[in-house]
Amino acid sequence: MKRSVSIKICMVCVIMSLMLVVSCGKKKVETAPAAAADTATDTKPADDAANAATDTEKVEDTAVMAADDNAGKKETAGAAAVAETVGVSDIYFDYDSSDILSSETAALEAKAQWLKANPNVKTTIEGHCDERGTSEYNLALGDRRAARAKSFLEKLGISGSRMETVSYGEEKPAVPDHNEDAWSKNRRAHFADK
Amino acid sequence: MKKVWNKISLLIVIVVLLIPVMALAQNDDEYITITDPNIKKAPIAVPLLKSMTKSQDEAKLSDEASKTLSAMLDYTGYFKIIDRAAFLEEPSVKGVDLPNINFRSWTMIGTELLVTGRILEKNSDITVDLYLYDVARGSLLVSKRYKGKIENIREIARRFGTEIIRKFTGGEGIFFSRLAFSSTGTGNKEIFVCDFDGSAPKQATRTRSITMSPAWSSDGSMLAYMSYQKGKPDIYVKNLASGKVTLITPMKGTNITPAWVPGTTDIAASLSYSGGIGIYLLTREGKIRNRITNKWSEWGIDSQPSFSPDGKNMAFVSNRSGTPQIFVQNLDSGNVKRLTYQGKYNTSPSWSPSGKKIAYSGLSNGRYQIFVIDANGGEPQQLTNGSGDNESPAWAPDGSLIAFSSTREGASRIYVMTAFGTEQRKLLALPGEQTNPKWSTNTH
Repeated sequence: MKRSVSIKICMVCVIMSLMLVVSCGKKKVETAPAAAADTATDTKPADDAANAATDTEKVEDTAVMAADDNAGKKETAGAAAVAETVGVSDIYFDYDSSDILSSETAALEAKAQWLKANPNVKTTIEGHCDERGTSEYNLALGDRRAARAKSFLEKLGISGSRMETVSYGEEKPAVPDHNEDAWSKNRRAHFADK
Repeated sequence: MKKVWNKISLLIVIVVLLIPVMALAQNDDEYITITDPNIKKAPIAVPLLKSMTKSQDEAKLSDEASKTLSAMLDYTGYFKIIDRAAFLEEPSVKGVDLPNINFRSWTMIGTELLVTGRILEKNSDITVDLYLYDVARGSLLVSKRYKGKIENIREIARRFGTEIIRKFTGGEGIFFSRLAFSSTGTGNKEIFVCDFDGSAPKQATRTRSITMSPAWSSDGSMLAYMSYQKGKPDIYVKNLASGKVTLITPMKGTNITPAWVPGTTDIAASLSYSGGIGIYLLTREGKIRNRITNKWSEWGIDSQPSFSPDGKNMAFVSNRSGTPQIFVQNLDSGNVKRLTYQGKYNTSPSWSPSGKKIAYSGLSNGRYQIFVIDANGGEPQQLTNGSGDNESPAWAPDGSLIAFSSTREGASRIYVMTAFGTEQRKLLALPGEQTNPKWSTNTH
């Protein structure tokens, strides 16, 4: 399952380069773990890092593109283009907050559209946190993040029965580094479609 | 586990009082005041025990008993152990009883307390007599005889150590308590258990998933914990003697942070199944009794319950005022009071055994530090400092020490300090990282 997701991500990257579409800020985040894969510590499960390893070169590409343009973040067209292919896979949060950020609503709307276009797909929304703060409290915070994302999609017409939530707190970081860049990518709700 | 209990029951067959302890009247003035942060440590000498048959086994056991007892007493922070090299006389040679002890030669080296003893070993059975003397008064304070097997020598040291602690604090001390914590050494987060001083660490769960938040039942016989064994956070109860594990949260959602209600077999925990993360009261079989914290928002978090020793009040973390802060709820009236006002991130409350204080970890200048605050509120006192994050405080059962996790040396380890923040030391280091310590009651 994870492998097919990363293959799809690769495809998206290629398509995006061809179309010269400026990547939205969120996509770089999804693939970024590969860049830091070799620093995965023994304390964190390394499965994400392992399957991301093949994507290393493309990750650098998208990271550069994203760095060029912050305005791309709010570009709905870009998000929609992605959505038609695989659906949005992650949305991001502020530190110690489960509020849906205005920067993330376009991604959620794209996700809703994609789920409507793919009515047989179900998704598990994983709530994640950065490593700061108490691991126990972060389990609760991750749960709220996933629940908020689910609620947002329900309001856009997606049936709750197609969406499950699970919190991983700070236990499964996307990026194992200990800096703001990593933290901002780890504060996420991840859509595991199936 | 069963074996251990058998051993203990086998061993402590006989604890005979040789001589009635008279001398000391048990008035409170004689006790060490454990509330005094500037406590003067009581100097104590623990020489070798006298070997009755002069066998090698006895010599070895004598050395082990003396070393073990010294280390235990040292660990409490109440005692200063006098170096054997300073001794002017050797009770194991000269004699261990009152008439044979020249108390002047002990006062001269600055000790106030003296432990002597004798050991007899026969076919792996041992008989150990231990005495505690008040050196200044030249009087006998405690006198005990223990019978057991060779392998029970550490147990005997613990028992006599507890007699010494009882004499000086009036309480039961910590020598029969244990700690539970999470460790990642196996490649998964699992619960481990060790003795009060970090010795004898053992893996207590084999879930091969993320497992944390251990919580001891009042009698120390059961551990509740959170585990992803079934793919999401749920609460399980493990009977340590039988090994039997029960899932107590069959409902959907995020089910976390168990805490036993003192003196009962009920468990409070945070559940998310009905909107907001609220604290509920469950039986240890998993039947929901009631929701303890009111639902104040669909997106709210109430978590990490910790009960006052009388079970009448519950400290917990809530983000109802915007950031995670410590609150206290009275279980009869339902009244809730906010306890912490300093800082934007205060979590992991731990109610002290005396009921007077609550320890917690709070964000201060970008680092998590351990604080203690009066259970009725007031000015928090910061116990840890410096680089690294210090989290998850847990009181020893006598309230004298606090265990916590710290990243001060890089990887997260379990540390111990006095309740005043002094004498901070590493409890143990295992492969991987250790977090989330919880201290049991004495379980002998």
